[in-house]
Amino acid sequence: MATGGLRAIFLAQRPMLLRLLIARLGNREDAEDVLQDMWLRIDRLADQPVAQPAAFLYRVAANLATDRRIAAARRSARDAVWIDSQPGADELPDAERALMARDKWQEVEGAIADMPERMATALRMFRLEEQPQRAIAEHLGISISGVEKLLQRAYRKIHDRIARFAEDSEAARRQHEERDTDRGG
Amino acid sequence: MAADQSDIIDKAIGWHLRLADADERGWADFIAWIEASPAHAAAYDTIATDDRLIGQARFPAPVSMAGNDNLPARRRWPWLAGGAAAAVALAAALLAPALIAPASSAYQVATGAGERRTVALSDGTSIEMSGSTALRLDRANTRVAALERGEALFHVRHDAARPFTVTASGMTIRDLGTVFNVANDRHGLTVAVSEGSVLFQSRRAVRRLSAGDALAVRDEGREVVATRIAPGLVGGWRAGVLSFDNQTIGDVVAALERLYGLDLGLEDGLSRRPFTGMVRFTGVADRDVPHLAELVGATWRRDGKRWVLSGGGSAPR
Repeated sequence: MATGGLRAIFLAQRPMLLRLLIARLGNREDAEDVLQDMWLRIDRLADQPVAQPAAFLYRVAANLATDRRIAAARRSARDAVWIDSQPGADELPDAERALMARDKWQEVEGAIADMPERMATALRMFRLEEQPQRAIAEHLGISISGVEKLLQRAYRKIHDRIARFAEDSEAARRQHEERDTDRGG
Repeated sequence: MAADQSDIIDKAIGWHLRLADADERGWADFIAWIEASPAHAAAYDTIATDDRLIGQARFPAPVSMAGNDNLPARRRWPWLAGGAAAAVALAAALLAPALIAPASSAYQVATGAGERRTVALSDGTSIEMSGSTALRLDRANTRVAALERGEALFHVRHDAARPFTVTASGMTIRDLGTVFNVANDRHGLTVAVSEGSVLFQSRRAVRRLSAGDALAVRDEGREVVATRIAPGLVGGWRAGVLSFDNQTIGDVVAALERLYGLDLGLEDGLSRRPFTGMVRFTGVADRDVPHLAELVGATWRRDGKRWVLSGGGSAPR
């Protein structure tokens, strides 16, 4: 698609893109910021024709919103953990953050390892290879709704595992804090 | 209450799956759903975050890729046969990667022109990929990467027992505790070190590069030029700052094409003309092309999406 075309579609979809971003980011300022960013980079968003340009723009916007949410979550986690204890140790928060992310990542891989093979295959084809569900259905020899169910369960397993992990670490942290407070007082 | 919450998570997952190939109308329905309640928005936020972690996870090697179509599918990772004891697997991988690494676990990560992507490897190494870049990685051995084309900045988690190795055009770069940048394009290979040091090896030469050292390799390793770069400028492409020492205008253009997806042609032998200097680019072609033209004393013109720099009749300086 010529850039001019994508620009026109961006402008036509702008109100809906803004709604999407406000809903994802929780405030108008950040949402406008993302739109501005997309507009400036619109020449470079797609290097080949896009079949469904409007859907493409929604996907880009949703991805950028997720980037920001993750960055914000990391910032607040880092501030909570490090702000008092490690002044000036610039690279330490990164190491710590990487460590935390790695723990979560281990949970994800553990959940995948525990999955039945077909479920793991469906998830891999969907998420890593970005194959349409139809192609996954053909590969596995099942219906599209069967693929949907597999993927639904796969995401749920992973979600539950991460949520449980987060609760456990939170509980551990609180216990630790209480102990420190006791000791201090 | 808890049941409601659980139900909302399932709905959020359903949306996430449908969005992969939703049309405009599907997106409008989704927007209405996350706007309907903060609980919806929060649930979707969690799923989107989980999804990123899944994107970085190692998956069991696909059975068909191993050429074993007729064998019963293995349920678990070949090297995780006993259970989900990741620590055991990690220890095993450290001891004998060659023995247990399945041959079929290579995968490719690629970016389009102007795209960026950061790949986090499980060992703590992260790779920042510029546009038009392809990397071949191996899930079974996270200490190797092949830069098939393009440019990437490697932040390597050093492990003396298992050095991280980048291969490109038959040459290898081995980390000795490091942040370094590698670019591999039609003009050749360049390596620049920001922290620590690396060992560069081609069929003809072995060089050790420390922070601030850079190397330009052309002609499949027959020509190796050592240069210096301020360590802070290594990987400067991430901020649009490109630095060239004793390189060519062709190198500058290749970097711009990669970084911003810019289609820029060179005429009158400009591509071989030497170029040294640091240039700050914005990614907006209307600004960058005239800026570059001015720097190198060329004239520019635009031909649809394509930009062209020409020597403008003046003799090469």
